Amino acid sequence: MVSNEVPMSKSLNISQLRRRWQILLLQLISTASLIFLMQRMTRLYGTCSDSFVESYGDSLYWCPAYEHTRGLRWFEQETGSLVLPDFLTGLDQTGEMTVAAPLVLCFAITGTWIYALTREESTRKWINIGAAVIFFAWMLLPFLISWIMAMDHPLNHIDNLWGPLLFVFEIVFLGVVFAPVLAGIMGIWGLSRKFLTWTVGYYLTVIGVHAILTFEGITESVDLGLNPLPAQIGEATMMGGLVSPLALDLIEVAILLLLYLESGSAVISHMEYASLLPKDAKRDPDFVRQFDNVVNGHLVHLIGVMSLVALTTAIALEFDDFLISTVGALSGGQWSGQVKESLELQLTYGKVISAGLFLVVVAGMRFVLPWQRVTGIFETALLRFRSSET
Amino acid sequence: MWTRKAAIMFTSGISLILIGMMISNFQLMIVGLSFVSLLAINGWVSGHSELLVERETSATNVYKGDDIVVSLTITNKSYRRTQQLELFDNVPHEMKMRKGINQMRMNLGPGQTAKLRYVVRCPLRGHYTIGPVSIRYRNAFNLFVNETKLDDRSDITVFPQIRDIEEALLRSDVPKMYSGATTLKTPGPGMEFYALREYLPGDSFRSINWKALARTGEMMVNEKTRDAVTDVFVIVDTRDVSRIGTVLKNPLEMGTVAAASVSNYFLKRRDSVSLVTYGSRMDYLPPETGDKQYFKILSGLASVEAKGSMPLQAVTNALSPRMSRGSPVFIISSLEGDGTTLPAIRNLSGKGHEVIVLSPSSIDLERLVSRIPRMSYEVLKLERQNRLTAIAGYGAKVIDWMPDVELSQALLQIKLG
Repeated sequence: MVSNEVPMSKSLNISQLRRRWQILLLQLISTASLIFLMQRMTRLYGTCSDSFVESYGDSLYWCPAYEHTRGLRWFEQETGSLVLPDFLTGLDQTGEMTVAAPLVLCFAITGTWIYALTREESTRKWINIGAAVIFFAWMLLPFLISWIMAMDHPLNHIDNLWGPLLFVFEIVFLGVVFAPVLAGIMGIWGLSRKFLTWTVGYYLTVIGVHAILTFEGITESVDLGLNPLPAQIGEATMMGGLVSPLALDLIEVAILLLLYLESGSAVISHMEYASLLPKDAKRDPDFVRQFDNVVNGHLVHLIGVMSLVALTTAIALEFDDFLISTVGALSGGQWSGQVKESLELQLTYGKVISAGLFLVVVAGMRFVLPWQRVTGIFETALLRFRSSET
Repeated sequence: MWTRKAAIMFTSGISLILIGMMISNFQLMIVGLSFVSLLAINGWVSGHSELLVERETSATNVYKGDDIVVSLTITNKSYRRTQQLELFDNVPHEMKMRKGINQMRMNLGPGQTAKLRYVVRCPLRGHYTIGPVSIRYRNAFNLFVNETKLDDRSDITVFPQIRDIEEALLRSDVPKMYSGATTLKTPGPGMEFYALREYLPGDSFRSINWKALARTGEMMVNEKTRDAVTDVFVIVDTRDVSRIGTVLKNPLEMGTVAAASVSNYFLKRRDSVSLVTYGSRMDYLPPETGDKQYFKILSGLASVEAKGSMPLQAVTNALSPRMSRGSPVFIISSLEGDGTTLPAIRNLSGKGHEVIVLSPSSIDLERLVSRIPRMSYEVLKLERQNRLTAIAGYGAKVIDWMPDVELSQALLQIKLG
């Protein structure tokens, strides 16, 4: 039926699509967003409060912050040694390099998982069974063997169970930081929407739990030593007075979260569509051309919309300043100066109300600006120019 | 229209902003603001479905089991990009996709065109419509959806299959009854010479026999025989009971194939064929010959449905004054659930019609879908045999048509029987 088919390398077969630059770019954007998100989260939520640190003096301490080395070191001190070697947990490194080895481990686990996924059902079953048997053998066999071999001795073989138990705890300490990264990478490269949303849900939970645990009303009763975020957004000193350093960090977290979710979901959505197509449609030039159009359009949207969202959020946060300056210019500087200095405006209430107003204006712009028509005319002219050239 | 994702994102955004306000946490507030901001910015991008869609089909009338190639050309005539559209050509569920697919995800630039090609198989007879074209605009982030329909439809008629029964009818007793049916030889439009007669005003000059004029000095014209030598009546049972069996194999489906094949055979021989279907009501197509009649018969058979319970005798009584004397009658019926079958056939035979009863075995068809205990099957089969024997006793030629037997093979039973 299809007279001219596209070459196999350009077809919409899943194996070919996995190597297509648009798909790879979306996956790389998503992966990079995830790693940057983890790094920003560690920077924002990975420290303990100054008072908590001071209370411990020179001794090792641990608070439930979003960082893994502190917990592992404290655990090592409590138990004597760790099962996992330091080079694997990043304990032998300092600063941001502490996440390098666990990240490599996450990629290795994802690679193995994808390899297992692409095998036959029976092979997959045997891989699962094998992994489970090895783990449980390592957990129980030393204990059972030593216990059976020395039946007449006192029952002091419980120590053999201690190692595996420590291992589980170490995994928990590592998992707090790297479980969402692992799930996220598995979601992106293993095309699992469930993992993608789980990761976003996890990060939102971390942010929420941190917010609650650092809320003044809670810390008065139970102080776990977490470092609270500043109650004021601060002076906009960056990007030409557009954002404050804190606002930039917080906006980055929000945008990276959205960028990770949307680019990861886009890959799955396009792959799902391609997998539904029958063989002949996968090599049909029209299907291939339109698929390219859709994916290219998606990439443009992703970059354009996310940049605009970041910009809009940043402006929305400073919109109160703009409103007061405008009112000040119209009705005198003294009143506006007083209002600007008021605490209510510095705290969330004033920001939220003015930001909400700004977003309403932004949403309403769609009825005012015919920008799609303008870009369409521009695109038509460009197409005509190209066709006249050829 | 907002998608579920957009609704969840908006609700989460507002909730996060409110919680952020309550516990004075800027992070929650900013995440909430970015969610709402994402919705606001995405609202700027709207797709459109002002498209020019043209559908071409390889055929509008096909036989059961044939394939149709459908080609859809979609053009964006506007100056705007369509954004991400999902186009879906509605195909009746009775049709099976053979090649290609009837949907496409596209993003057409200004003036751009895309072609969608697919092949569907039509395994069931009937009248169908391909279309309308459903177009769904979906935002790149799956936040907004807008559905429209372009009312472009293509009507397709699927005729029953035509089986080659020529050899079977030549070898069986059926055709021999009608060959040279001189009783029906009457003047009319045709090819063969019938007689000479005097010229009458209105006669065509082409029909004047010039040799006879020269010989006798009087204007004489050639009269031809009517091409149709026989009026063949095909009566098809479309009562509710004829749906017994599977969707593809039931007395009605078998009956339509048989009626179409028999009609095709006799129309090719330039006989006149009349089609009568009875179920909830009687539909009568008067005897005619030619391609037009062939098309009428196939269209009539394409639209029959199994419903109603009209008795056969009511049909034969109504038809009786319209039937030419001695014309053969094909009755295609499972003969189930109708107490008037015997008297109806007796009356037809009594009036000198050659009656051929082609009866799909509904008991064996029922066995295809449900398990009948052996004893019950034997009893039912015996009852059916008795019924068929009684009909044969009135001079009708009866064919017990088993589900796995081809029509041509079944027709041979007339001779073998």
